[in-house]
Amino acid sequence: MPNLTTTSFPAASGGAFRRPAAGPPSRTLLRARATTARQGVRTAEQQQQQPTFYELLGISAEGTSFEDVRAAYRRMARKYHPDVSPPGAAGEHTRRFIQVQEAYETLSDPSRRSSYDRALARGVCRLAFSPASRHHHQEQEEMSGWRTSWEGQIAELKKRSTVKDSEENLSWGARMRRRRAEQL
Amino acid sequence: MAEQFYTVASDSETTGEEKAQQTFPDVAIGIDIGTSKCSVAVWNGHQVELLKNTRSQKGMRSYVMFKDDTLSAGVTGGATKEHAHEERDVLSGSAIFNMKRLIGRMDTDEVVQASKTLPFLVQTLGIGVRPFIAALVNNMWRSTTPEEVLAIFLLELKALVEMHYKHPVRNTILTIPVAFSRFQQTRIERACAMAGLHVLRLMPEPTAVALLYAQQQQQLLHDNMGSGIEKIALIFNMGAGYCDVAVSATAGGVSQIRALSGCTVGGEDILQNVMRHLHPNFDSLFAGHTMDRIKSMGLLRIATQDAVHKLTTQESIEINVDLGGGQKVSKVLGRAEFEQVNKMIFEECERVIKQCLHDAKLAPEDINDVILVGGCSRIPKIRSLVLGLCKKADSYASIDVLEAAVSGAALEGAIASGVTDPSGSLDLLTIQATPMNLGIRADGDTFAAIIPRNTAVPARRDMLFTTTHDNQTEALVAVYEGEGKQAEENHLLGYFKITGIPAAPKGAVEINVCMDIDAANVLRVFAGVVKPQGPATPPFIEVRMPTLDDGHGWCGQALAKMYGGNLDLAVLPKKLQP
Repeated sequence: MPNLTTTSFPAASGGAFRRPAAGPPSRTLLRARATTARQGVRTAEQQQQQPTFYELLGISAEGTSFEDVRAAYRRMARKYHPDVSPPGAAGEHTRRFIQVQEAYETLSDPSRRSSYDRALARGVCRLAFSPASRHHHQEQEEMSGWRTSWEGQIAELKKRSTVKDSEENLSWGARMRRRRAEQL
Repeated sequence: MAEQFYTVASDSETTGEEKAQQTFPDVAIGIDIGTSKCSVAVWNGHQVELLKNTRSQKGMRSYVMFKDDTLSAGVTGGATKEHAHEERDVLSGSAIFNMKRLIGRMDTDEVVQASKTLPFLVQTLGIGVRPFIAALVNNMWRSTTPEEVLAIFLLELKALVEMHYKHPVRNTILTIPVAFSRFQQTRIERACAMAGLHVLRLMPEPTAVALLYAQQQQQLLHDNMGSGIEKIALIFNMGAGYCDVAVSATAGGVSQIRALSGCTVGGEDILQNVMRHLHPNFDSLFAGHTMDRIKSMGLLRIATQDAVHKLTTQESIEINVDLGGGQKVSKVLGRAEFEQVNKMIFEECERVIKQCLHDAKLAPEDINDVILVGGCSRIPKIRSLVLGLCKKADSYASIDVLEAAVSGAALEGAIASGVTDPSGSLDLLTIQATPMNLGIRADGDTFAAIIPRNTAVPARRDMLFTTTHDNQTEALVAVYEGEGKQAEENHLLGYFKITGIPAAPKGAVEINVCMDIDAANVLRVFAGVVKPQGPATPPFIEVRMPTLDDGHGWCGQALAKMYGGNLDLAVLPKKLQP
């Protein structure tokens, strides 16, 4: 198990951030390119300092309830939502709001929060956080959960059983994964 | 100039008043363009004020009357001429109405098909182009477009507001149905531009109601020093043309739209069902649009409208109408029969509510308030159906059925114009959600959703795709919006090609397609090759959507015919992604 983690993870994780220029053609670069297309060059340093979801919402990782997460989200939304941001800061605030939104969506879902917490504990969640790559990020979190711990699998199973298992309910990615699994 | 139209409340201090006067002329007006009736409201400095026309109506019939060289809209209702327009004038073929149902729709659309029984002319070719619409002027059909009709109406509405406040109006917030596609939204914006109005925002109707609800909750909090616990509201809005549902979570002046769903059924469908029920030969009889038939159709319509209205309070209604030409309708219509005739419509409403609750991941028990708005929410069956699904005994009472949406729009107008209120009643924020999936065509004719519906706006999502043929150098990115699993079931918003893809075996190239909805709800699509990297790859492409003008049904077919699967993309299986 641990072997799997080490082999599968660094490629997409912190390593690439620390060596942005020489790094393999990994996610980081791709993403940087995708964002560049619109928002101008965001340097690797900026990405390196990506805050955790907890930092984004301004709450502590320990002992914060669902209500705390929600209240923090509302507080941050009032601060960063482009509708209420000062005219000059709309672009930057929009970016921040999307991050806050992602943080809220992850932390307000118990199973996603627990897999995020596990990733955070291993220090791998600084890996691929960018709103543009939400899907892959989520995917990686899920994969890491499955690979490293039974808890992850159980959490995933629980998540699947709580959210009704209809096709419509699954994310597009999940539907595709399932379809592929069925074909195998 | 400003003094006379302020009714200064006794508690309003001079400072507050001055502030309001300074900001007031720039305040965006709120407009609710209804399929049947329209209303306009403005933040007057301390509250939302609904405007009345010269006939003292707050809800003004939505139509434009074509007569010789003069056009007059339902705002004034012809009151400046010798006589006011009666309903029978509106139904004489000379007036165009229901433009909200027709705007931005193709002639293959079933809503357009259903509009062919209206008194004015709606002609279709069934090939996915704009329908031909014409009004009767001096016994001749004169063509027009829904955008033009709406623009004329808005122009009259704008004049009404300018007359009332004695200063020019420029900015507006319009409410739109949830089911409106992005293409239809551009048509609304165009109509506004034609009328000299700048659209600050198009708000889905139930979210405007949610905003008003948030303000009321905030007010309650101020008065009672309440706890500020998050309240979940289900808003059901059904007017003449559309049915919308939203679930919102409100606390501390922030209303977060958890889910939206909508469909194109409304009072007009109910009316047509009842007309068909009363007159079995309805369709064949009125297909020809001859002068005498237009008149009979108008008479039947008026009688049916009246019956539908009365059935909201009465158990049964007697209909007796002479349609001329020896045709008579005389029937007693009971409420049970009425409900049977419209069974399908009620089922559709039920589906939309269930979907919305499902998408919001909430059970009926989680709902604190059920808000019923729109003309059709007065129908007893609709009320019982919504309340039953939400397991509530009664609906939220402090909201006006017909004025809620426009009031919410006016509130948003004040907020978006940067008006602040000393009492904090404008200290509100709505976090909107996307009403429909946005994605591209991939894996054959499959629709790959990149931004799923009910994603919070602003949003930015991306997805990786790959080529479907060896050495494929070009790929077509066809952007769709909708709920269908197949791309063709959805609205085509636009398309563009990625060219210069480096030659590689199929599946080896990675193409990133990113969708971005900004604060102004503008959709941009970015696409380009992300693997292999290097100078041999083409630059990314940024496209603002929708790019299509008319005939979007036509385009999709033409593309398929021209290119087949040559330019297809496939979703990159996640397994291969690092």
